[in-house]
Amino acid sequence: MRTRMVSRRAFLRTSALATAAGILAGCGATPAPTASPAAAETPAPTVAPATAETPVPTATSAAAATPEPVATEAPVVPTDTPAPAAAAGGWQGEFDLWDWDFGPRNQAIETMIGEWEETHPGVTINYVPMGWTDIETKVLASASGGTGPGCSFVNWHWRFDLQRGGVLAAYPEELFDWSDLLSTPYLRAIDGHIYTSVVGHYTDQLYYNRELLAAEGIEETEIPADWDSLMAMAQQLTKQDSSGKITQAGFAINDFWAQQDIWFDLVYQQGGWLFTEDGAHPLWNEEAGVRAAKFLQDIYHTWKVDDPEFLGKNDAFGNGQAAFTMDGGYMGPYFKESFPQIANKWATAPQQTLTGKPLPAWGIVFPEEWICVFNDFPHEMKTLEFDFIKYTFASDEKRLQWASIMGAPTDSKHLLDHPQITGDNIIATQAVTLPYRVNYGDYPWDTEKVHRSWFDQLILENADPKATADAANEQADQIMTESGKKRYITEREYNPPSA
Amino acid sequence: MSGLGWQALRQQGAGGHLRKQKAQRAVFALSILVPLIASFAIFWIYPVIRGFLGSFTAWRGFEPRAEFVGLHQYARAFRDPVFTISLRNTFYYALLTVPLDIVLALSLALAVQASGAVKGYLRAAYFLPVVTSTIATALVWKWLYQPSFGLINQLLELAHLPTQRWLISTRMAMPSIAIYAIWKSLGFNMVIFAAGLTTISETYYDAAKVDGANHWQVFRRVTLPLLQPTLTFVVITAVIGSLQVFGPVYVMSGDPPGGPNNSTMVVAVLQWTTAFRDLELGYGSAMGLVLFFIILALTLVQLRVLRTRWEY
Repeated sequence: MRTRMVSRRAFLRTSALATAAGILAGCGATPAPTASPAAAETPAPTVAPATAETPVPTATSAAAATPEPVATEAPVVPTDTPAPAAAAGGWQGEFDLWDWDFGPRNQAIETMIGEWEETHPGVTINYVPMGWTDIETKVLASASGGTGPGCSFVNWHWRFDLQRGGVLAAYPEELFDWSDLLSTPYLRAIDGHIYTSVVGHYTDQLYYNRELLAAEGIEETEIPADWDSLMAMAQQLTKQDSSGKITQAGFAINDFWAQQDIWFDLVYQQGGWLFTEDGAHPLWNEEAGVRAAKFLQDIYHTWKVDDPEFLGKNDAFGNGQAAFTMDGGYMGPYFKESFPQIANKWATAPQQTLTGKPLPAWGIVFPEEWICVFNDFPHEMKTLEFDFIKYTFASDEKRLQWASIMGAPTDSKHLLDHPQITGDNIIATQAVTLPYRVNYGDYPWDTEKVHRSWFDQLILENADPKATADAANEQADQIMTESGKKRYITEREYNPPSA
Repeated sequence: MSGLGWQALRQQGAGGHLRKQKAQRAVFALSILVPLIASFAIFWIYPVIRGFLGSFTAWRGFEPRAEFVGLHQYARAFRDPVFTISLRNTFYYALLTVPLDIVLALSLALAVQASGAVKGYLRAAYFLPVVTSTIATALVWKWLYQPSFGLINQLLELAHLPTQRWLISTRMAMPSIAIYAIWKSLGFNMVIFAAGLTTISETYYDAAKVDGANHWQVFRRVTLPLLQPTLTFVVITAVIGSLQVFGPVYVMSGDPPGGPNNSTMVVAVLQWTTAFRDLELGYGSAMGLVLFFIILALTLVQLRVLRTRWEY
C-alpha cells in the first residue's frame, strides 16, 4: 500500500489554519514604516543638522556686497508656552503623524510628542517616519483614497496637489502671529487661507574649499559677490592634466537640479519672471531666461570651469576636487555627513549675483514646509493636531532649535538677526539673502523633462541658447496647457525691500 | 440478503465512496486555485481593467471624479514630443538588446554544452548576473561608465583607444545601457537554450554525421529547427522584456531619469513619472495601454512567424 506523506485532509487543515493566522496577523498592529534605499547620488532633500562643528567664517565676502544687518541685542528668549492641559472638548484617542526619515528631526519630534502627550492625557500621537522615496506616494495615494493619517509632514512640492485636492484643513488664524512670518504672503496667496507652516527657508549659496583657495593664495574674504569675478577666480582654480582633462573643477555644477536652480536664480536676478502673471504659461525664452541659459553654457564652453565628463557636483566637491560649487543650504549637512574627508575644509558664502548687489532679487527660496492637517477627520481631533503644531513652534527657542537642526534660517522675521542664526556659517549665508528671495510656488514639474533636455542641448551640444529656449518654451507651454491643472504660481508676491 | 443485493449495496457504497472522493478532490483543487485566482484578479486583472478605463478619463490624484474625455489622452500622447521620443527609444533599445542577446546566449549555450566536465561551473558563472540585484549592478556599471574615472575608459586609454562619454553622450547612452542589459540577462537565456539543447536526441546528430554534414550544416539543419520552440519562447519573452524595460534605464540615466536630451527616455519610465510624480494617472494609463497594444500585436506576429512548421 502506498503511503502519502501528507494527506489531503491534513493539507486542507493546515492551509486553513495558516490563512486564518495570516488574516489575524494582517489585522493586527500598525505596520512598521518601510525604509527605502536611498538613491545613490541624490541626497535626501532634508538632511542632518548643522551641528556645533559647523565652521564659523572668519569673514565672509558677503560683508562687502550686502547690506549690514541691523545690530540688535540678543532677544530675551521667552519660556515655552504651556500647552492646554485638557484635550479639546474632552476628545480622547489617537491620531497618526507621518514623516520621512530625517534622524535629528525625528528625534526632536518624538521628544516633543512625549512632552505634549503629558499635558494631554488620553491623547496619543502615533509618529510614523518612513523612507523619503515612500512617503510622497503614500501620502498622496492615501489622502486621495481618504485613508491617510490625521496629519503629516508634507514637502513643499506635493503640498499643492493636496491643496488642489481639497483634502487639507486650513490653519486657524489665531495659531501664529502670521505678520512675523516670511512665508505668509506666499502661503496665503492662493485662496486667502494657510494650509501649512514653514520651519525654515533654504536658499542657494556658494560652497568653497578653503584649502584649494589657500593653495592659490586666495583669501576667503576675497571671494567676490558678482558672477563674472567669481568665474574668473574659478578659472584660476581649475586644473587640468596633460591631455586637457579637468582634474579639479573651478566651479562644479554637474547636476541638473543645481543647474536649474542657478537658472531660476539668474532669471530673478535680472528682474525677470518664470511665468506669465496668471501662472498659465512659461516665459523661459524671454531675455532673462535666454541670458541665464547662456550663463550655464558659458560655465562649460567659455570659462571651462567644469566638464560634463568630470565627476558629479557632490562627488567633486565632497572629494576635494572642486574649489566652488553651489546649491541649497540642505547640502551643508549632507556634505558633513557623507564626505568626512573634507571636514573643516569648507565653508559657505552668500550666492553671487550679476551685479554684486541683492536687487532686484537674489534668486529663489525653498521653504521647508511643516505639518499639514487632513480635512476628513473629527473637528476635535484636528484641533488637537493644530495644538501640537503650535507646540512645535511654541517659542523663539524652539524656532532657533529647529534652525540648527534643519540648517536653515527660521521663518520668523524677528529672529533673523539672532546670534544663533548669524553665528552659524551655513545658516547665516542664507539668512542674509532671505528678504530678496522669490518663492515661485507650484512649479509645473511635468515640464522638468523638457527643461533637462534643453540644458543637455546647451551643455552637451553647445546649441544656440535662443533657439533652444524657444523650442523648450513651446514644449513646456504645450505640457502646461494640456495638463489643464490650475497652478498656484506665487512668484509675483515677491516684494523686495527698498534698496 | 441475496448476492445480487449485496452487490448492489456494495456498488452503491462504492459509488458513494467515489462521489466523496470526487468532492474531496474538487475541494482540494479549489483550495489551491481560488486564492491564486483571487490574487490574480485583485492584483492583475482589476488594475489592468481600471487602468484601461482610466485611460479614457482625465483621472488625476485627488479629484473625486474623473471626467470622461474619450480618446483625448491617447491623442495627447501622440502629440507629446517626449512620448514619441520615448516610443522610438524603446524600440531602439529592443533592437539593440534582443538580437545580440539571443545570438550570444545561443552561442554560449552551445559552447557550454560542449565544455564537458566544467559545464555546471560555467553555467553557474554566466547565470550569476541574473540573480544579482538590478539596482546594485546598474549603479556599479554607472560608475564603470564614468567618463573621467570609470574603469572602462581607463582600460580604453591603456589600450590607446579613444574614450567615450558613455552615459552622458546622446549617441552612446542607450547602447551603454543595452550592453549592461545584455550582460545581465545573457545567463538566463543561455540556461533556457541549454535546456532546449538537451531535448534534442543524439540520434539526429548521429544521422547527420553519417550523412557527412559539417558543423555548420548540423547546426542549421538539425539544431536550429529542433530548437524552434525554445527559440520562439526566448524571442517572445526577450522582446516583451525589452519593450517593458524600466530598472536599468531609471538607475543609469541620471536624475531626473531620461538621459542626455531624453536619449534614454523609454515608455515605462515616462509612464511612471507621469502617473506617480505628476499624478496624471489617466495620461499615464493611456501611455501604458499604447505600449500594451504594441507588445500584444508584436507577440501575435511573432507567434505566427515563428510557429513550428515541421515535425521529425
